[in-house]
Amino acid sequence: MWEAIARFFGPKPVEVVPYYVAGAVIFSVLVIILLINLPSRARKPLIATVTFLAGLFYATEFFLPIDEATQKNMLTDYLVPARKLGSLLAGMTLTLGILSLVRVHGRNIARLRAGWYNSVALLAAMVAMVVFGLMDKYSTHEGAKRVFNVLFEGMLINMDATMFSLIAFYIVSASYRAFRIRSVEATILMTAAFLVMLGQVPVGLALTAWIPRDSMFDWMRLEVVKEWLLTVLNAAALRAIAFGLGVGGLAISLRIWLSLERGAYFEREI
Amino acid sequence: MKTPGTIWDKLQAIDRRILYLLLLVVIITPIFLPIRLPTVTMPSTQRLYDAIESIPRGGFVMVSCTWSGGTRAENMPQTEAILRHAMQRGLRVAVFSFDVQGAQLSLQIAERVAREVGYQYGKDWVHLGFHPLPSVVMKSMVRDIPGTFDKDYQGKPTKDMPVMQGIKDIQNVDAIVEIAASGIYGDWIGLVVGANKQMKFGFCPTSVMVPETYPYLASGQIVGTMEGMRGAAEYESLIRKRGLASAGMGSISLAHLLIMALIVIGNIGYFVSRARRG
Amino acid sequence: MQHAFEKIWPVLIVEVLTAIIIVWRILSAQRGKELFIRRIPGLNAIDEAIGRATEMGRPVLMVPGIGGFGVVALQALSIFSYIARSTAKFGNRIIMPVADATVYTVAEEVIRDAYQAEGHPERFDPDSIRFLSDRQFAFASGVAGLIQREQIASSFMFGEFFAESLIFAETGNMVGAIQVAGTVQTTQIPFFIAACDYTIIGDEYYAASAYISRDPTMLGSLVGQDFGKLLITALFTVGMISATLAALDVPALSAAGKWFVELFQIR
Repeated sequence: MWEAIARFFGPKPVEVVPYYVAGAVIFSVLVIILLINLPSRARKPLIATVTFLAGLFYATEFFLPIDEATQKNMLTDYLVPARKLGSLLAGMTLTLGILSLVRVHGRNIARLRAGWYNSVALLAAMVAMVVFGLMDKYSTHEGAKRVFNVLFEGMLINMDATMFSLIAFYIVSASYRAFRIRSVEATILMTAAFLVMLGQVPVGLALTAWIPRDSMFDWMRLEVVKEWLLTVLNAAALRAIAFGLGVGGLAISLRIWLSLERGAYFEREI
Repeated sequence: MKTPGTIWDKLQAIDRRILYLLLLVVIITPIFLPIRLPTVTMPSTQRLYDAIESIPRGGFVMVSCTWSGGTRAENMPQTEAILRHAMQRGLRVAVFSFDVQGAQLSLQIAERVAREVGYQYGKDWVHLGFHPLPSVVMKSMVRDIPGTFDKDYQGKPTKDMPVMQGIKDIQNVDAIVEIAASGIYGDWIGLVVGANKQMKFGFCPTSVMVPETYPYLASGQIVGTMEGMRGAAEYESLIRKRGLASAGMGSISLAHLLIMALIVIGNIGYFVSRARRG
Repeated sequence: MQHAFEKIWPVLIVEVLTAIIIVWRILSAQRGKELFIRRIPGLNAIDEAIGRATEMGRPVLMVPGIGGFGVVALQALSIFSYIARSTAKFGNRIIMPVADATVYTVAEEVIRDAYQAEGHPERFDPDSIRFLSDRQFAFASGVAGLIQREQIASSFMFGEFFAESLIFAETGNMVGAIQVAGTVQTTQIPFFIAACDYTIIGDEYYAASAYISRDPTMLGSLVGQDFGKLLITALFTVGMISATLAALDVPALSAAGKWFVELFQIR
């Protein structure tokens, strides 16, 4: 049976693909109509069952013993199709996302709200990127490729880098404002921050570079102090937080998987 | 924000535009007036260098470049340093990316370094292009590398390329180095690293991500790291080829000093005004 | 998503045991067992921040991070659902920029439901939930622009944040917004602490919905979580003792210590 399923979802000769696509569309429409018309009493157990089965698939695949030679178990081969299904769903929601963007900015333009010209720029940029992106991939037009290159390498990459570099400026203003020695804890925090900052840069490291390595005072070298603060104190705290988060994530996953949640996300009875 | 009164109050509330201007000055100045600073190598950088050094000539190294233009300042020198080291050592190198931009940018860097070192495409190195769905690729490469990376970035089959000869699965890989702007190391550790105990896994994150890698460095799951631009500068000094990162160290050092000076100034203002108010 | 290692059974046992404890506590809480939860200042500040926005007549911003659709985003939406119920009650304007299309579709439903539950469905503006971009820095610039243009009064940032966290927090600080943030990304916590008024640290993030809603299921789950942490702490302690024993020169003790250490050793 598994082989028959794999064959059904496997690659197909080009001439039969349209039939499969049409079949998939009809099937999806039927499923959507069925889901919409399902009474809400039946919808809830259905969602719980689908959620449970989907979670069970990943959990079982994770824990089932594997065959040493192939490094697989009976479910491993279905990971890729499952992921593709997820990507498909994500792709569909992207359409809704873009619709939201067009709706918000289209309304700004239609009603000539303050800054409507920014909305024009946004929509124009979006259309230009899509059109030239597709032309770059599917056409041989040299001009279009050059325009895409300017848009992608000349503008997008550099604008990304500009936003990233803003963080440096914000770090200066945030640390200037935040580091006030108001208490003992704040003093300890700032001392540690100073040692780490000095230990990060050559100028700071040069301050203790005269202490001979492997001598009994080696531990006073700034890079050693910094390394100790980061790998012992900081890493211990990080580990503790990571374990807390891991268990917290497990708890919320369990609540969703087993449908133990009562109206946390959707207040309306579904 | 309250209006500052005395000079001491003002020291606590310097206009952020002045702070930004000062930062701009300290970052730009060393670019035009280079400052040569001594480099002290961090143990984590040294460990990554030693790991690559320990691979015999002809060994197979995979370099994954999961970064984009946004973090180019840090990830580009890291990529260049690791590729140069691997190529200088005569190792076979396979570059790929889980990011569209990263694929393009890493190709440019690899082509340049290969030209300088005299590496031949297809024989000594290969670019395996962009691959979406990292965890699927990782899972699949554990048992089948030629199947996972069947084509290079131009769509040419890789199975006949000399660089890929003898590479069947993860057991044939000597090292994987991930240069990333995200926490993708977790996937590598979870999916790949445990499958070949002899293989070395190096990670080159942006500076801000460094602290979260320490537990894995301590456990040995990450053999060594290149910590942002500073790590890249240290690596450049280890391979004796000063590049972009070394040039940026002046700016980074001065920016750190500026932050420390501003913190001190803010605290002086805070203490004096508090003392005056009794 | 791995099963590359041979030592999966110890992990399975610990994980299943933790899961059983959590489910047991949830079920017992659902049966009406009273549970205590300590004070979390950051979460108490939510009402204060909404109140301030009401007084100033300026919008409330909610950012669910840039992560994809998963438990972290769902938890963020659960917190935002609570905030939306308050804003529905007081009639505040909300803005919720979203970076992931899947999160966007669910967020719209969650916020709409919150308004409906409060009896003010007419106050819900579908344009308040906006998909901006799934590119990190494009999203960051979009949110920073919104903060500046709309002069927001309060900002809530819950979810997965990366390098853009400080851009949001500092821009919010510039316009004088009261800011509450929580993330599972440990490297971003220092930035939030430096620039926000309240920050929720570590697994407080997962405690948030229990704390806010006082729903028995969530409270039970929270207590179960803490039992899980106790279990892991106990394993740490046994591990430390075992590692010490393994280093001893007493063959029997050393062998026992080694056995335990190797049980969980990956490399």
